[in-house]
Amino acid sequence: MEKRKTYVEDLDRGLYDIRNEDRYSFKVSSGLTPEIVEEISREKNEPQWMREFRLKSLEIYNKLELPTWGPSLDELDMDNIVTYVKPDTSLKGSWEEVPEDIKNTFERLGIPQAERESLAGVGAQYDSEVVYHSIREELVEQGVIYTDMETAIRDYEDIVKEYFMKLVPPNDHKFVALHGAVWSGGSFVYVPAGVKVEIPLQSYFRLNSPGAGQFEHTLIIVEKGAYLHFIEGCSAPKYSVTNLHAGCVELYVKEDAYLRYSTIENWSKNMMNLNTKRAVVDKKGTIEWVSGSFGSKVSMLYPMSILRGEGAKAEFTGVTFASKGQILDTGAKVIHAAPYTSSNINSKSISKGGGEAVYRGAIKVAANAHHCKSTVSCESLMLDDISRSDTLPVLDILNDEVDIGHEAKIGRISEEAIYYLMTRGISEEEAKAMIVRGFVEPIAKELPLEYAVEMNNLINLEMEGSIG
Amino acid sequence: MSEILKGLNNIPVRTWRWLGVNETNLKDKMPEIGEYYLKPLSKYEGEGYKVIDINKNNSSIRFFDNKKELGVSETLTEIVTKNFNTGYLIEVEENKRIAEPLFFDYKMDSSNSILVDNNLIVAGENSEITVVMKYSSTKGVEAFHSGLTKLYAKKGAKINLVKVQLIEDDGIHLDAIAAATEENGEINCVLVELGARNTITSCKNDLISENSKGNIYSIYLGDKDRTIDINYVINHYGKKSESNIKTNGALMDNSSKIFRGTIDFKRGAKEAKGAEEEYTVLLSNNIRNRSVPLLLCGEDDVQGQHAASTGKIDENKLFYLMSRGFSELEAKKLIIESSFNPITEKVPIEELREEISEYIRRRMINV
Repeated sequence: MEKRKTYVEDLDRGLYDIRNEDRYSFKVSSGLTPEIVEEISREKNEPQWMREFRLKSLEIYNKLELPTWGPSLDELDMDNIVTYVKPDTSLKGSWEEVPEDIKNTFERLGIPQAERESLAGVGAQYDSEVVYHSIREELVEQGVIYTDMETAIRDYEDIVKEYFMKLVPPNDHKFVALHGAVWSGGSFVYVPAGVKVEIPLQSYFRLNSPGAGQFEHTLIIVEKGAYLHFIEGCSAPKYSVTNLHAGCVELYVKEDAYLRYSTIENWSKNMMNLNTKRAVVDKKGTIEWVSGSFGSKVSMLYPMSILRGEGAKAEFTGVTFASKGQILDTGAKVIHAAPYTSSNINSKSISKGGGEAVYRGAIKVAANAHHCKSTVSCESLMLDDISRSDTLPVLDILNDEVDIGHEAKIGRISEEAIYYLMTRGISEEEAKAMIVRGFVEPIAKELPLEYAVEMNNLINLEMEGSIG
Repeated sequence: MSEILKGLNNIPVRTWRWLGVNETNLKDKMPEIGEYYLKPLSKYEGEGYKVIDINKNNSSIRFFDNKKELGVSETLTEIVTKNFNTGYLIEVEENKRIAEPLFFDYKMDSSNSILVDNNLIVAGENSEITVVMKYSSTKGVEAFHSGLTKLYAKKGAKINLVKVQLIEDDGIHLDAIAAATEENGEINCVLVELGARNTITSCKNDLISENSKGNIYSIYLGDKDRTIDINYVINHYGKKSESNIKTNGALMDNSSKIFRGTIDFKRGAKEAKGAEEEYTVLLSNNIRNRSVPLLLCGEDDVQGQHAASTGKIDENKLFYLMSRGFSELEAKKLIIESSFNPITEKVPIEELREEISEYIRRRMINV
C-alpha cells in the first residue's frame, strides 16, 4: 500500500481558553524574596511554624540547582512569575455566592453539574485560593474531612503539622522547595479508619491570572481500612506569558486502605507543569494512579509510590498526548521498600505535530524487599514523522527474590488496520480516531465516565482534519 | 591523573541522579602507559586482507576522528587514540570473504601489565571477515586495559567482531567499540565479558545507510565485588536498517551491574526495526542490578521494542534437574551456562569456547 502523509489539525481548546478579566484583591509583586514569602504568610494569617517552614524552604530553593536532565526550563523566568494571586472573593460554601465570572468558568468546565450527578464533594480553586468547597452531609457525619488547606491549618493544625511536606520534603528538588515557600490553596482530605467513601471527591484547579504560578498543596490521609477515590482536574486559559504550576500532592495510605487518585490535566500550552506527587503505602494498602496528561507546554510529572508496608500495592495507568509545541515528560516511580510488595505500571503515549512524549520511570527494589513483583509496560504511538517519542525507564534492584519485567513498544498506526476499516466503509479519519481510541481504551475505562467522554472528545478533536 | 576515570559510559539521555546510572566513576587512577611488547597475532597476511601494526603505520587509522562520543568517555578516547601502545589496522579487500577468523590474543603479564590498544577494521565492499579478540591477564598482575576498536563496514560488507574478556580478578577493563555500517552492510558484535574487577564496556554502532544491520550479543558474569558497566547505543539513520541487542547475565555475591542499552531511531530512518532484550539471573541478595533500556524515536514509521526482565533462577528447572540426580550447585551451574550458550556458541574458535566454559565453571564454585 502506498504511503501517504497525514495532516492532523491542532486541538481547538474552545472552552478552556476563555479567560476572565484579571480581578484580584491581593497580588504580590513578581519575583521571590523573604519579604514576599512573609507577606503571603501574613495575608493567610498562618501559625508561626508554617511561616518558618516557608522561609526555610525559600533558603533551600535558593541553594538548589535546576534539574540536570529532562526538558529545557530556560524559558522559565522566576523573577517574572507572580507567586500569589488571591482572587477577589473569599471561600464560599454555597455555589450561588461564588462571583459570576468565576462561577461561569467552572460551569463551562462542567464542575457543578458533575457534583450534582456523581460526586461526593467538590473543591474549586481559582488562581491561588480555593473559592468553593462542599461535601455531602453523610460523609461529614462519618468523620470525613474535605476542605481547603488554609482551613485545614486553622481547624486541624495538629494533623496538618504531622504530615505536611514530610513525604515530599522541600530539599527534594528546586520546585518542591519553591512550593514549600509559596504554596497556596489545595485540598485536605482525611478519611477515618474503616470509612468507605463510595463516590469520588473532586478538586478542580483553574489558573486565570497571566504570568502567575499555581502552587496548590493536596494532602490526603486514608486511615486503616478506609477507601477513597479522589479526582483532580486542572486547566488554565492561554496567555502569551509563561505560567508555572508547581503543585505538590502527598498521599498517606494506611494499613489495608485504598486510594485511587485520578487526574486529567489540560493546562493551556504556555504552562510549565512541574508538579510533584507522592504516596506512601502501609501494609496491604493500595494506591492507584490514573493520569491523563494533555495540556501544558512542558510537563515534568512522575508520581512516586513508596511501598513501605508488607504486601502494599501500587498501580499506575497513564496516557500522555503531546501535540505541537509540547514536551510532556511523564512517568511513574515506585520504591519497593518492604517484602511482598507489588507494582504495575501501564503507560501509553501519543505524539503528533512535532510534540514530544517522554516516558521516564524508575523501579527501585530495596535490599529487604524480597518477593516483590513489578511489571512495567510502555507503548508509544507516533502519528507523524516530525514528532518524538522517547522511553527512559530505570530498574534498580538490590534483592534476588524478585520478579521484575519491563517492556516497551514504539510504532505508528498500522496501515493494514486503517485499510481494513476503510474497506468496511469507515472514512480514513474515523478509522484513525477509532484506532487511537482503542489504543487509550485501557486508560479510558479507568476514568470516571464524564472524564472518559471528555478524553474521547479530546482525541476526536485532535484527529479531526487528519486528511489522507 | 585521578579525574581520567570519571564520567565514563555516559548515558545518551540523562535521568534522575539518585539512581546513579547517568555515568560511572572509578576510584582508580589512570596508570602510566608504558610499552607493550607482546605480539597478539601470529600471522599478519592472508589472501584478501592485510594486518598493519599501528606502531609502524598509523596514517590510515583516522576513521571517525571527528566524532567525540564514540568511546567510554571523550578523555579516554583521546588518550587511546594518541597514547596507545599497541593496535592493528585490518583491511579486507572488496568482494573477499575471509573464512578463517583472525585471532588476536591480547595478554597482560608482569612486564606488559598495561594494554592500550587502538584497532580499526575496514571491510571493503561486499567483503566479510571475522575477528576474535581475547583479553586475559596473568594471576597476581594488576592488569589495566583500555582500548578502542573501530569498525567500518562498506556497502554489502559484513564484520563479525568477537571479544572475549577473561582478565583476572584484580584487573580493570575499559573497552569501547565504535562502528559504522553502510548500505546493506552488517556488523555483529559478540561480547563475552566475564573477568576483571571493573568492566566498563561501550559499543556504539551507526547504521548510516539503507538496509544496514547492527547486532550486539553479550553475556556477563558478576561475582565477589565485581562491577560491570555496559553502554550500548545503536543509531538508526538508514532506511530499513535493523538492529538487535541481546544481553544475558548472572549476578552473585556482592557484584553489581549497570546495563544501558539505547536504540535511537533518527528522523528519516523509515521502516527501521530495532529490538532489545536483557535478562538477568540473580543468585544472591547482596547484588545490585540496574537496567536502563532506552528507546528514542524521532520517526513514526519504525518498529521498536525493548524488554528487560530479572529474577531468581527458574525453580521448576532447578527442581527438575535435581530430581534427575544433579546437586543444587551443579543444577544452577547448568542453568546459567545454558542461558549463556546462545551467545557463547557464536565464538568461532572451539578451543576458546572450551576455555570460556571452563572459566565459567571455575567461577561458579559458590553459587
